[in-house]
Amino acid sequence: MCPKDEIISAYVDGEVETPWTEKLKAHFSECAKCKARLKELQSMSQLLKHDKEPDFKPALNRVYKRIYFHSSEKSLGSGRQQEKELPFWKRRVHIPMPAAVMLSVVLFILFASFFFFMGQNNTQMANKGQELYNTQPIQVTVPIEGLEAKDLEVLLKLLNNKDFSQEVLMELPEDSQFTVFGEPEFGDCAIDK
Amino acid sequence: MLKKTKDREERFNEEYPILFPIIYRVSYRITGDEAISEDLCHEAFIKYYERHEPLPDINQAKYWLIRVVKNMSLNYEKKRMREKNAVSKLEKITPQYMESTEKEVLKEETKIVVQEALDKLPYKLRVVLVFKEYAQLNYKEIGAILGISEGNVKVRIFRARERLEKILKEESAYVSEG
Repeated sequence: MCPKDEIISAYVDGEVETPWTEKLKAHFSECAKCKARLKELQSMSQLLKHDKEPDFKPALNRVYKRIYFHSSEKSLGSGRQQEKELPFWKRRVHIPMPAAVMLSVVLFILFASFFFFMGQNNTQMANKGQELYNTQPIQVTVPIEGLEAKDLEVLLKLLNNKDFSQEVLMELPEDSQFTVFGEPEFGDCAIDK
Repeated sequence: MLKKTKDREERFNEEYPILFPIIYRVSYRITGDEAISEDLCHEAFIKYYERHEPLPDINQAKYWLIRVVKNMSLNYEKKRMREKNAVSKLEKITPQYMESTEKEVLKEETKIVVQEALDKLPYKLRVVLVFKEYAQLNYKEIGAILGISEGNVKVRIFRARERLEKILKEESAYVSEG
């Protein structure tokens, strides 16, 4: 049986696997028709390979010069840029990726710790407020005859003992600054009553 | 850094004289035009020169350059097809005039019959045959460059040869008639 033309074409290119190459060879020695086809395809391949071609040398030299010129111009260009010395705020800075990551992490920690300490300061201030509250007792004046309450506790005791209501005037220290701290004891007491 | 560029330049200078004739030949056989082949080579070699990662060896460089040329030649082919269509439209309008001049051209340039026949092949078939005959690539390498199977390469090469035979026969008959 004769092989397909496609196989003969592959045979011309040396692209037929080993057991088949020998079989084809044997076939070509027997079959005149296939041998003629092989010759045709081979001569076609030869015709293409030996076809006259334009001389590549001038093009080779021209292209080489252009590439060389192109690259030297490029390096010259970058040299010129370096000579010019851009002002520092216009200069590009290359930061390697690991360094950039490290930098962002450090910045994050800085910000985080800043806010953390701010929070601590707030609680410290609140503590201060309490100190103020403890050290400078509120001046309480109760305009009742024979009664003088010097501080809140005395007043509260008074209010507990005697079952009466009375106008009370409280003076707070003028220079004190207030932040909300804890439960309003006095108010709660009044409401309970 | 400086040493690196020096090494690269040295390697380029070694490879260039070996690779240029192959790449130029492939370009010329695909496009059929000397000036365009030179431009294609120029672009391809500049791209190669500016490549950051060096290729392992000269064979890889050859495949790489062939692939680049092939991609660029496709753009040229599209442009050429547009022009060809425009010409064939013109031919329809003035058939006799075009025919006679074509005959004259053929009579004058019987030498470049092979290239003309190649030009008449469809691009897909032409590229495969050019890679086989002019770049000495095997089916496997051609398949890798074009992203097709070896079997497909085999079929395309055979079809290209069949078509080329037909074109050459027609052309020689045409020339001997005229």
